[in-house]
Amino acid sequence: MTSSPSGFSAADHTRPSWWRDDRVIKALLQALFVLVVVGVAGILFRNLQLGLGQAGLTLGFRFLGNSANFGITEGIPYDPSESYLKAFWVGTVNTIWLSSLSIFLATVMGLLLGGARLCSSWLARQLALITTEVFRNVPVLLIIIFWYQGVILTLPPVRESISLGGMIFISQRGLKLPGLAVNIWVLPVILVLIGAAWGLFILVQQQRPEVGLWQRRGIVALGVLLLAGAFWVMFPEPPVSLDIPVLERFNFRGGLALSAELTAMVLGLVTYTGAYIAEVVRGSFLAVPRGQWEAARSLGLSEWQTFVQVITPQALRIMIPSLNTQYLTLIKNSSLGIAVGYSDMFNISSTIINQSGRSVEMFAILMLAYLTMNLCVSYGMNWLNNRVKLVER
Amino acid sequence: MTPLEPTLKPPSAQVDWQRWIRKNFFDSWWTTALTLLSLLVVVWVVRLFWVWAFQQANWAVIPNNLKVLMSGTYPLDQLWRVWLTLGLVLVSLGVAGGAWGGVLRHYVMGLAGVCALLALLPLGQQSQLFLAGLAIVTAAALAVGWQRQGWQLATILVWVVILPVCLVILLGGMGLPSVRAEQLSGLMLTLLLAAIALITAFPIGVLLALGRTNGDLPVIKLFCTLLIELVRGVPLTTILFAAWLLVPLFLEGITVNLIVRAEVGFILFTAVYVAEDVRGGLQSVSRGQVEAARALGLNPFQITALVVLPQALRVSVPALVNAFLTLFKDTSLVFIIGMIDLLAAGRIVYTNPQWLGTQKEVLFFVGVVYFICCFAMSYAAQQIEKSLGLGKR
Repeated sequence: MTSSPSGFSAADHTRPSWWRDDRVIKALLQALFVLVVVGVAGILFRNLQLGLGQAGLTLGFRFLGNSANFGITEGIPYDPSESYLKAFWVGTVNTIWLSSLSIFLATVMGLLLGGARLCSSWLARQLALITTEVFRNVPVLLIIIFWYQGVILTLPPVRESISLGGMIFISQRGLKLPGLAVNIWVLPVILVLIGAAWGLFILVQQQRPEVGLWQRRGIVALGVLLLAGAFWVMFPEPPVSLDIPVLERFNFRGGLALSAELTAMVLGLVTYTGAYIAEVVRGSFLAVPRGQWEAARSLGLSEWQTFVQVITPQALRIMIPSLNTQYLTLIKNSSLGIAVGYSDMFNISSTIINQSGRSVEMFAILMLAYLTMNLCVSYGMNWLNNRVKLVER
Repeated sequence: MTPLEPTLKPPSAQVDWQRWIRKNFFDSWWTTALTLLSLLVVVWVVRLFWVWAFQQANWAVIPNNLKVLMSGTYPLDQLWRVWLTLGLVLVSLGVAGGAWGGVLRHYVMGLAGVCALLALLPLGQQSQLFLAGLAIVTAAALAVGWQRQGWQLATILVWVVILPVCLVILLGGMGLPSVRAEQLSGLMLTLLLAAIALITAFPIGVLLALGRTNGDLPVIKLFCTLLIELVRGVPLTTILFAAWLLVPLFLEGITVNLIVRAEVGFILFTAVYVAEDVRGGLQSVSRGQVEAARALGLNPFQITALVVLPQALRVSVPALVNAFLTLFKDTSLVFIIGMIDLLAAGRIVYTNPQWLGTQKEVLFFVGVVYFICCFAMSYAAQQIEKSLGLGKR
């Protein structure tokens, strides 16, 4: 770095005095900064300990082993007599389940809406534009509450559920979907099928090299289908069956249940984030240079081939970092479960804080948990980004 | 040199409406299908909305609860203080709009127009009088500030004074009877929270961004990076809840106003996002600018304040407006700590036994208010982006 010009006089070329040395000033400044930060933190920590002492509490994580004594309406099996740690874990699983379901559906919705923003039909473009603008310019909390109290809670009660083809039932208590009851034997069979497909592919390649790639794929698909059919017939019981919910006296039996709260959360997060993802998708496709379309056309590719094989891969590459941001926002927004009573991580933590008064410890855990989740998603998206990004010299 | 022949302009594509319709609606079977599908959706949604809005909805809930939605539980006999605050804000906005011109001026004109229009509606004689007064005062302020470009900087800096004055008027003190912070609610609270957080978070965010990009001070850089990444990884719900519970714990013995506690959370959260946006702007300033400034003999402080920051902030204005938009929507999360903003006031209205079953109407109204505010902001961001000529070079 430069030193002040006054240090260099014509008479002597001595170094500037130490208190004018840039490096010394910077080191001192930072030392002062650390001192102030440590000092403030120390005062705050002392206050904290005094305050906790008055309430008869000390910092520590032992309380996590205590019995929780509160019920949780949904999630993995849990009993109120189990520990706080287990209760928190139930919330964590719920948050992960809600987030992954919403991320998947929001991506689908974003791709559809973003595609509609770019399609050739004027009406579809305008419709998509209005939809994205409406959902982007309203708080996500409002959307969630609207789905919950404006839509789901005004649906008919369970006994008069709206039935979609006798498979899906919609009512005040949420969604009932047909579940997939998979026989335990299916997994090894699938492995065998994959092995057979691979073997067949290699076999055809070696014996009949003149067969083209698409024909070879067709042969393999046919063979695997035949094999699968044979397995299905020979099985003593059907390997995969639909577990359709059946209405009984008070509620449904069987099937996959999405509670009203979960449905509202998923709908809210998906419509809100989906609108943002639509913008990301649209921006990414527009960011692919027009020259790419023209170059592909001059190579003789059809419109569809150009779109699938030239434009989409490049757009995906641009999309991934922004998608990552949207996914992280979605995970953070999933903490709004408390507004509709969905037992997510934040909701359960606030209950634990109310019961035990252990706010500092619970916030530390909560922060760690959210940071871990965000890091995992970021890591996954970075891995994807590295897979698809342009390898340059 | 021989003079060039005047170049002919390319023939403009004559677009008659038949051709336009064919191209945008029925270009191919694919486009036709999309158009028909969209038409179906439009008809269905419009019919659904029509039936609800004009046959089922009980719109009486809105005018009857307008006071609750706008200013919540603020004492009725003190309501003139709200009007006074509104007048103060509108006057400052008017002067700023006159001095700056552009989108801001249009918006202030629009605000004055809306006030004038509302004054004609039957909202009660007192409100109508106040509204008419607001319209006149705003127009007058606009005229005072008209074309006075020398006032531009002052109109921004004056907010540092105006907001505390507003708080004093609203909360009492200095001779005015005091009002509890909990009574500050409704749309008023939403606007107040957003404005205070914006004004305070902006300088903090700029400092954080400068700290994070300064490689000469590694300790400060580490501190800023850690703070930014930690806060960005955690949901706002958690931060608000933590601010609510922990601020009194850390400041042992000092009672802290509820609004201050909420603001601590909002400011922290907004500052880190502002910091990231400003950092993006800082990175866009080329190194040559710094080197040129150093060659001119400016000291590091001058380089940052006079050369780097003005260029960086100019680039990040659109991103900053979007950050403010997010902040505005996120103020709805104050329900977590029991404060009553616009959305929470709406929830109070429709849980009132007298207005049971009006949740759709109330939420629709609240949504429209949010939408107008947010849409105006994102439109302003687009206009600013255009006037800065970003992305065109």
